[in-house]
Amino acid sequence: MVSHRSGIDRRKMAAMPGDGKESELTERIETFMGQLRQRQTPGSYNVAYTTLDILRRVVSQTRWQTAKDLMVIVKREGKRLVSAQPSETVVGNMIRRVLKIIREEYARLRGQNEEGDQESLHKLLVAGVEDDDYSLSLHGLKPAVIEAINEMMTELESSADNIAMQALEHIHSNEIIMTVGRSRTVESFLKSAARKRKFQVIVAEGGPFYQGQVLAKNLAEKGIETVVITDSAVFAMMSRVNKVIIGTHTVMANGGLKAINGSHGIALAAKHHSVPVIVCASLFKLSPQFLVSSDQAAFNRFVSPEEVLSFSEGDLVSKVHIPNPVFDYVPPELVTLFISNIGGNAPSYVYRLLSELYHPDDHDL
Amino acid sequence: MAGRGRKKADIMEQEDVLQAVIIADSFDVRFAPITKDIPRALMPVANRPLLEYTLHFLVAAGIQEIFVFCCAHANKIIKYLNDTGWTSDKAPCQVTTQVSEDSLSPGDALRLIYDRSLIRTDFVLVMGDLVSTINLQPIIQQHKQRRLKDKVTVMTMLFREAAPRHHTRSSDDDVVLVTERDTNRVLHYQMVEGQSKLDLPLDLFSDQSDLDIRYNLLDCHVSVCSPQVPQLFADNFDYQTRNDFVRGILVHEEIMGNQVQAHVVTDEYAARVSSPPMYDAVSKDILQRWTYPLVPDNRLSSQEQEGFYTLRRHHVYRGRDVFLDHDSVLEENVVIGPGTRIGSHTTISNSVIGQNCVIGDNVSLEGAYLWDNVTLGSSCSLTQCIVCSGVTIADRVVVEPSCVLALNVEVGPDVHLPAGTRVSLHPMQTPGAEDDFQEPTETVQHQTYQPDRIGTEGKGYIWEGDDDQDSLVAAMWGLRLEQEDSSSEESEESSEEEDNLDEENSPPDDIRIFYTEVLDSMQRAIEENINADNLILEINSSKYAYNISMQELNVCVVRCVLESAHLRASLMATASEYLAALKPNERMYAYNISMQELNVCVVRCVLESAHLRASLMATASEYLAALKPRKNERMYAYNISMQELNVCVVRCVLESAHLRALLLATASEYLAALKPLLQPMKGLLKNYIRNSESQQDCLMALEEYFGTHLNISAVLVSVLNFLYNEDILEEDSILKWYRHTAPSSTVPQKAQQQVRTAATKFIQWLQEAEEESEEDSD
Repeated sequence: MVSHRSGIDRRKMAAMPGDGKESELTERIETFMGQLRQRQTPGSYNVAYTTLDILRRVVSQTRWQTAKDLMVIVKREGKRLVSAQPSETVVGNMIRRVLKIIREEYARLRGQNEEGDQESLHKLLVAGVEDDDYSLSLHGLKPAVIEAINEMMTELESSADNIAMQALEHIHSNEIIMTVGRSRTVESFLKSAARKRKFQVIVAEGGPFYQGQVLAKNLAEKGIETVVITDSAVFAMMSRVNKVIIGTHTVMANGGLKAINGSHGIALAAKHHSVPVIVCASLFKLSPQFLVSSDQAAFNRFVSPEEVLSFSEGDLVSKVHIPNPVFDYVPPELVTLFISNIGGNAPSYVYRLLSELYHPDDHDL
Repeated sequence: MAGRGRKKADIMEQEDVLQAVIIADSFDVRFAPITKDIPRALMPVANRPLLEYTLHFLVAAGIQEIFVFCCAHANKIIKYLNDTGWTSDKAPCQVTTQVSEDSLSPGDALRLIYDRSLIRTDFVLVMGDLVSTINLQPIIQQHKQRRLKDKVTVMTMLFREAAPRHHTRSSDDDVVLVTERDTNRVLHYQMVEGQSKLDLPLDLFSDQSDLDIRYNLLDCHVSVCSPQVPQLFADNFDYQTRNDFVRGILVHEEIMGNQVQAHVVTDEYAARVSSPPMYDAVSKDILQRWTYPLVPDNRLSSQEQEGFYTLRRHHVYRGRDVFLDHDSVLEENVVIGPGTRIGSHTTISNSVIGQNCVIGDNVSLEGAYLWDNVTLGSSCSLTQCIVCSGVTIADRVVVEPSCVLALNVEVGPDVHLPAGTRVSLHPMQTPGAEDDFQEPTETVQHQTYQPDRIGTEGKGYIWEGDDDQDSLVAAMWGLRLEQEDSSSEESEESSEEEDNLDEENSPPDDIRIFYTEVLDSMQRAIEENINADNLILEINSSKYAYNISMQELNVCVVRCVLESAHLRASLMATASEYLAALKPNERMYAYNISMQELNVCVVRCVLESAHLRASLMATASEYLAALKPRKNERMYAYNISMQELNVCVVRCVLESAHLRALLLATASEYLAALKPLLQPMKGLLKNYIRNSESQQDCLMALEEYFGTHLNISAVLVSVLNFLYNEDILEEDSILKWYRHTAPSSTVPQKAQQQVRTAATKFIQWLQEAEEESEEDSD
């Protein structure tokens, strides 16, 4: 009884502001990591936003003198966050973005105009060899970094809208659009187009998770003519389709996709029928990772086979292997166009976006 | 987003904190001898302690306060929780340990929790060996909503749907559940325990229109309980397990008005590691990712830095710094812990290997569970076994299925361990071991290792022994023999001790005190005419107070019955009465005493006490009054056969008359005493003596009684006459009885003959009467 009460007291103490902000921060990080492990954070956007929020707190609440210290701290906390769920690439992306912000702000405050240097291709090539050690203690670095992170969060908030705004350029009247599963970005994209244009959407249900059914329901409620098809009917229906518009979990460094299970099939069918494949993805999904082997650690995510074969089946369950991967890899040659919050880009341009967003030293955290 | 954490904390304070109780003790010996050294909750399953799965399951369910109840090896569990940071501030929820060294069952644990008044709201009750991914939140909400509407639901039990013969279904927990279809209210709950037939009470079908009778359920022993559950356990201290509790609630539903609810989960995982076969099954499920996200390659907490696993095809999980020599193959469903070295030409499948193990060349592992720091020589072959931490197995050792090698054992070289071998550094049956089970103590200890059986470099004792243990081993690995019936109040630990107590001559002090206490309550019960229910309750309470096993209880109760009968008899100074009281009890000694026997004995005690009381008052009619209300009630409560009841009733009637006669001290007066007694008795007899079989029973009882009291056998004629006149006995039955002398175990042949001679007069009269009537009809 006594120990129990003191436990509560301790807990309250930890939450009190007088006890130091750092413990509160650690608690927050732990909670987020717990959510990542248990998959309690729905959608890449929320993961990205929460990561940025935590990093902003790391910048403002931890003690550091120089940009170098700060980068060490951010990297250390970042590594912990990434290790909680390595297949969640967005976390790593946000950490790299913040590191890049720190570098830029440091350089700006030193009076160097790094952005100007970046313009030339040659400079880009030699940028890997960095002689600056970021060890100067600069006044005003902290507010500048925090300000930049705030800007980025605003950018995040508006990214879905920015993508949806471009919908009218890509979807024309009486077109037939095919999509698979449920991507929030694609959903708002289609809804935005539906305000002006009349078109038809074919949704492949995206087994074994069947998120496509949810999307179809949402679209139909908005008055869009929607057809749900099974995944096996994708090829048969493809000949009638004008465009394939899909979302993705991650855009790989080569312009390939790590997207929901079934995307590869739909992309191959589109290639066969020469239907353009348009991928809606915010820039925060752009990862500097490549796919080297299909068994690559932490690329895919294998979840419980329950959705494929019910555990209650009895004898059969112990006799079969049932891998249930969440993601497909779609090679870049199957993708026609990326629509990001800054406009449309071909997969071949992804390398350029990468060098703009991330510093080459940060690719490996 | 920024203020979310703080807001959450506020909400937490306003609402009820979600609590959970983990019972981190198994209260059985399924994993012996491993559980001699570590508790079941800390056994690694897929290289992660079992308790870790349970805790993470509760954390994921949003539980904010967890009580870990530990009994055996409590210090180890506490140390583990401290080391892994569960009890620290940084843990995702508040974990506190509750220690009780002397609890013997989950029921005791809940009583303790009630005593310490830890539970304030609805809570989740789980066992410490649970692996589950069920999302509890909606179930808890449902439970709470039901409680808001109606307070009668005290518990929601969770079941996982699983077809019969599913590999993850434990035969211990095989259950048949009857629920009301609309409300999912549990109406009947029955353990199957290998029976092929099932009895369902008829009123189930008469009272309800829509029923679900299900046998496709896996009982995962997760229950959402109302705050009064610990209180109910405290009020009914004969509740040992949750099964007792559920059965109690269902039986007394009308009285207490409580109900139990069932919730069947269809798409999430839940299973208990309750025995070695289940250890095997659950490990495989984990490797095949049914338990996602509780899988080896998913780090559950920040503490698990070390065991960072990567998943490869065919469910092969490899830790960091694993060294595989050439031509070694990891076939399927394999976990290799970090730092393990595996030699060349080794084949591994369906196995889990812990950290820093060293495995030699040409080894074959199939279904083997190696814990940390195991050293395995070359050319070994292990099949379906558990090898605990620190075990050393030398070259060319063959381990057949169902073996268990406990901590730090050494085996080999060149030995063959036959199926079901268990080796431990502890000699078997060490007295006074601080463990969660009691071993029989009187067998002689093996003082030396047996090099011919465990190898010249072997270190460890082979655990083997009596039939009881053998059946245990078999049960452990699914070669299931007939499991002892645990449906009655017999708890598991008592069945362990059953065999060795018959010869026990000097009971310890506790038993002696218990004995006098039971004797006192029994005498008081007889004197004050106390209801048998209360007497049973009293005896049960003393049982718990002195920690008496069921076996000892039985012996004591019987002895007390004898003693009290004796006291009574000497009080009345009638030796024959004592004999009468003694006889049935003697018989009981001869039998192997079972619950059934005890019940019979209790019934007899009830009858006897009624009888004694009646004879004291010396009025037979009062005896009848004392007897009547009890008889039916007792009969149904103890499920006594009709025949036994008939015999009992008849005998009692005679006995009371006899007693009265003895008091008057003359045989002829016995008849006088009997006559007024028989008159009011006839209604009672008519009620029971209905068909020819029961008439035979009645005659048997008469014969038995008068056979033992030959001095008054003359009365038999008038008794028979009376019964015949009252149409209780038919002519045919009497004649049949007279002609066929049924061999009886209680009455000697000679006495039987004498009884028949005494009855001759009546028989003659009967035959004459028959002839007369025949003549008349002519």
